[in-house]
Amino acid sequence: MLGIDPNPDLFGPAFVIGLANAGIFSVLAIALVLTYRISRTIGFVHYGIAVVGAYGYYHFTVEYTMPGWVALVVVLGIGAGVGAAYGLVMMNGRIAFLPPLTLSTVSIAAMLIIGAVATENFPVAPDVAISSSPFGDDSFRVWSFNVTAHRFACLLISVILVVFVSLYLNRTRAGVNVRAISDDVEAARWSGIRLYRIGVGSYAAAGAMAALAGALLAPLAGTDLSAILLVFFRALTVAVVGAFSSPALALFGAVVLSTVDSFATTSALGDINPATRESMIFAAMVLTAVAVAVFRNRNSPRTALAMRS
Amino acid sequence: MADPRLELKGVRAGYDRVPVVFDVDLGVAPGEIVILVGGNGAGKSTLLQAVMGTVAVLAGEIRYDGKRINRWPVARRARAGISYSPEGRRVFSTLTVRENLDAGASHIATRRLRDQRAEVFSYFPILSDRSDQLAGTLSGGEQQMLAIGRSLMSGPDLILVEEPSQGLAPVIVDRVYGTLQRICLDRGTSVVIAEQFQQLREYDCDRVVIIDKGMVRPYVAVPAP
Amino acid sequence: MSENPYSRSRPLLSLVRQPLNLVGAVVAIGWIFFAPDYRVFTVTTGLIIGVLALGVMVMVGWAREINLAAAGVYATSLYLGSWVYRPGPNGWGHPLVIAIVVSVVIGILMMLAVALFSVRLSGVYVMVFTLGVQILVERIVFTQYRLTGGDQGLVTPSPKIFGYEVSSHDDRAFYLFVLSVVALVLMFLQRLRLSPYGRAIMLVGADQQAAVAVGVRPLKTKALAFAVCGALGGLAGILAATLYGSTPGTVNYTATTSLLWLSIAILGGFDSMAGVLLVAVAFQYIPLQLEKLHVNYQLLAGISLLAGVLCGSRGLGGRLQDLYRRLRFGPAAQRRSRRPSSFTAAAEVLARSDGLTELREIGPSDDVRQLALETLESWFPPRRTEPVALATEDIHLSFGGVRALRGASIEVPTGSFTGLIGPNGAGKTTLFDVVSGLTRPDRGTVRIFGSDVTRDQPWDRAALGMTRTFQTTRIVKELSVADNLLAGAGLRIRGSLAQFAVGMPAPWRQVREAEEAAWAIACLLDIERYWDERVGELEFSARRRTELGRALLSGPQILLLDEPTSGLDPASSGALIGLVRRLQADLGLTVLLVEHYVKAVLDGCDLVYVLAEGQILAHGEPGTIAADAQVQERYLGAGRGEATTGWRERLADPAGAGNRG
Repeated sequence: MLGIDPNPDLFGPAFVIGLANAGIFSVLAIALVLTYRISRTIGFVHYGIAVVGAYGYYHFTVEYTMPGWVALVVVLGIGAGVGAAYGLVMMNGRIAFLPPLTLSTVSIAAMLIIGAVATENFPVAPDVAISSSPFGDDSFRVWSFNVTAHRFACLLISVILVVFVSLYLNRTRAGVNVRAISDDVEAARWSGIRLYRIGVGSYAAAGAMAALAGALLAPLAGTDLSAILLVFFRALTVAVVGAFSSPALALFGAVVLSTVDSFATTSALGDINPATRESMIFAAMVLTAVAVAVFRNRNSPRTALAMRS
Repeated sequence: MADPRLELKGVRAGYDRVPVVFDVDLGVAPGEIVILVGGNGAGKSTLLQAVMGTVAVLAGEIRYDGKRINRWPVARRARAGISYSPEGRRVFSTLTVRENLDAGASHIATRRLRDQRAEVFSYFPILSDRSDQLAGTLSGGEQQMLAIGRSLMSGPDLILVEEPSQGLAPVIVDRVYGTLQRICLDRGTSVVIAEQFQQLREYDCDRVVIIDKGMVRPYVAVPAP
Repeated sequence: MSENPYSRSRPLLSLVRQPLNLVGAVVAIGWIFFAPDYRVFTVTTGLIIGVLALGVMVMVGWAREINLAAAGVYATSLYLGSWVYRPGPNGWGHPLVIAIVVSVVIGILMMLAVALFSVRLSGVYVMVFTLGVQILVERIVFTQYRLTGGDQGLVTPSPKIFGYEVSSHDDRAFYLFVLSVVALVLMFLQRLRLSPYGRAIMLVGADQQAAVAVGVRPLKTKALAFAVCGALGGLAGILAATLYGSTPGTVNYTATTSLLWLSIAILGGFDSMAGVLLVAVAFQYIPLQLEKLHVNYQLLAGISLLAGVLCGSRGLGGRLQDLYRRLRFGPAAQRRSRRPSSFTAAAEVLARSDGLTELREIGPSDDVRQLALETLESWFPPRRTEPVALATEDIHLSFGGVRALRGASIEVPTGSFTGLIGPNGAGKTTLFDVVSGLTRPDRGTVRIFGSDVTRDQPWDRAALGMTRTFQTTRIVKELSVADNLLAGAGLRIRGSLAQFAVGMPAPWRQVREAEEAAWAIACLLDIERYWDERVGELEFSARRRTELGRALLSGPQILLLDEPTSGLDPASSGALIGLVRRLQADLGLTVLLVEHYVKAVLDGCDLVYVLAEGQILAHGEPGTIAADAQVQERYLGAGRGEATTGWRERLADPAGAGNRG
């Protein structure tokens, strides 16, 4: 009924392409984790910054004919700058002490404003919005399937970021301060932690990561806003799998999710119509997220109330 | 009295330009324990936070070691040796005990961190046993000790403690006060403790100051009937 | 007891009584005869979005869950609803009424599906899931071109109402049609808000634990808020389908639109439905005027969200209300000072005395008290007569290796005033949570009037007549004292949502009784003078008493009080305990009190339990407990007032009086 018709020959390639795809949205997911770690909010703003990244990268490479690498660096700088500016707002005395749900609303507001400014200032020619990769157009064969250098680089970058962010959060003194801020902003300030320095720094790093994700997406999906939103949403779900706290779990979630996705799209399971495919992926994401949330909540008696009915 | 460590002259402070404390004059000598007593909303917390730098001083001046600190940011005051243990303890519950302590010493060089921790553990041995436990799983008394320990990590000369006895059994409060007194004797630290009336321990301090509706007045002990 | 001058339990009357509302209604009808067609059309569009935004307001403002799928739900209802009533190959040609029903049901079902998965989890998940629904709709519904017509839309005929064709060419007639729908929606929401259902939604949104303590079922209540949001979204969708003459293209209903509509509800605020409608209309109207300036919808949404957040949770509407009250009645501080509270006055007299506090009885004068008690007589259910009101037997509970309770057994006789004291970490709060049902014990039984409730939910226990207050004063700061009190009345009012919605007299009579009872309780607690003030602006002890009042309004048999005096000065503490004792006697309550203010417990209680290390260390009459050597040593420490030397001497000479290591 669902039109599922497994084709074992395609399992290998589907797995490879899933793995390769995981890189893109796990970069964004790590930015979300970092943001959550400092403010207990969902970093909707990173969708806006990713739009800046994608549009900026496209604009610089196609309109200004910059080399991919230069454009990437420029876009990273812009992303870090926007992230830092956002950090300045979020650490401001009027905003920083609001409840998390309200802060997420502020984040949505920032996302809309940044997205609007980006699309106004980096106009894109319609239809031809696919730019070239900063990592060249080479590709190599794995399991009889072409993997482009770009996809491989994405995965590599996300693995490196996972390692760095995990070490930063769990092994450095700055990381302790970051977690202290997310635990209780006021108490952190009273303890003499420099909110602005730590906060703005972390937001700048997260902003750079989001811009990077956008720039990495431009050579794949171009500047289609709904494609960026979809990637953002997947990153969001993946971050939920990591309960917004663990970059490594987020990467794991990204691999699982994009494998499911590629199995559905590469007809490894037969020709599935798009609606069924989206529903399947959505259901997979929802169930994973709920399972993780339930599992995490079960260990703390205080939240037991919310879990029973 | 020697040169006061902390001196408030005509201090008016509050939120959003609305004063909560008015024209407060107060001096704290080195090595002195002062209890600031008042009801809820009397301005105890506002006054302590004005000294720590998280509430705006609207008029008057705050001097610390002779220097006017009215406009110093919080982190600079912390480096200068002021620390604050807030009401309700406010430990970082998702961090371990050791990480909590480290968070209180964000401007201390890494090589000195171990010594600072050792000093705190000497006052609160129980924290040393629990150093890898999440702070949220500690009991109320242990959390209070952790909160004071955290404020000790920066090696302060002036500790502001808000309602250390809140929610604690009398025997635990005895222990907390005892430790504060030892810290004061050992290190010459000045201590300002804000308390509710029920918890006033006039024999556990050098001086009691009453704060009521944002104004301070000296405390006159009631003679026993 | 004086007459309650602010009664609001007649929803429609209270709407009409506000002069501003009448002026608004006249303006809403009158202005169209002086305005050009295109402007009437714009405002009609704004009102339709306003209907949807009112739904979002219920979910975001009342239940405090963020909805990112408003446009998706609206568009789905719009396309499916218009399919139902469009004649010809692209539709079934049913009457409009059926289409409306279908649309509303679709909206409800979609939001209930979200609620099913996310409502048990935290608000973050609701955001993620609603965003997911939005994306799913964009991918699945929007790509069915036969249904949606893609970016072009499909021609849809004008609706017929009572045989009269309300043509989209006749802008004014359609405007009036939409306006009457808006009026119905406002009436429904006003009734919902004053009914126990709406009050429960607001309380759950603000504080789930406080809500379950007065018998509110949190998940059902939240699901109701989601459903109302979906229903109004669906209604707005079908209205829009008929407005334009052809369904709008899918490009209009992307995630960005959802966010724009979310920002309407947030900017409008939860307190003012008129505010939400005005913002919705302004959002349609202003961009048209600013066309030349290239105002991007995203930018507008972003800026207004930010403005909404900065306005606070009551939004622009709340700010305007404040301004109005200020102009009419003077500043808040002045309003309060005109009504001095005898409670604070008494507390002040006591504070100036000698530092030692007596449990002095204060409260209303005798005749006021008598009247209030007579009113409450009929409100409270008949008192139970079983000898033991509440008992725990051998409660064991450990979490994460910490054994919090190790066989705690207590027995609270009916009609008694029982105190529970003990060192910190002894498990008092845990035992309280076990009794009230927030935590389930590993072993042991909890009995209320003899029946085993160990496995019952907190709201079921509340229905049996047990309620509690909290150490941290869980009240809704943005709401008035009256609204806070009445949030507790849900258990005592019977009636289905439909009965409240259509205004059946029987349930509404109960609401009026609830209001009278609330007024009586406010008189007893000396907060009636703050009746219409927001609790956030009141002094601390008045907030405490408001929380206590909410608990009382649920008509409890057993009242659990968790450190009611924490944060109060000694005078107010003494006064509060005295007040509670008197209420307990007057209303025949059974009270279990956890306190750190030992003096209050020893002076005021009939029976005292001392908890230490998860077990009962001692119990008995206060005099016995105070003299108990074990209690002295493990809990009370060196007797107060024994130390007569300064701390420096004591530290220098540990053998001296009052060693306090």
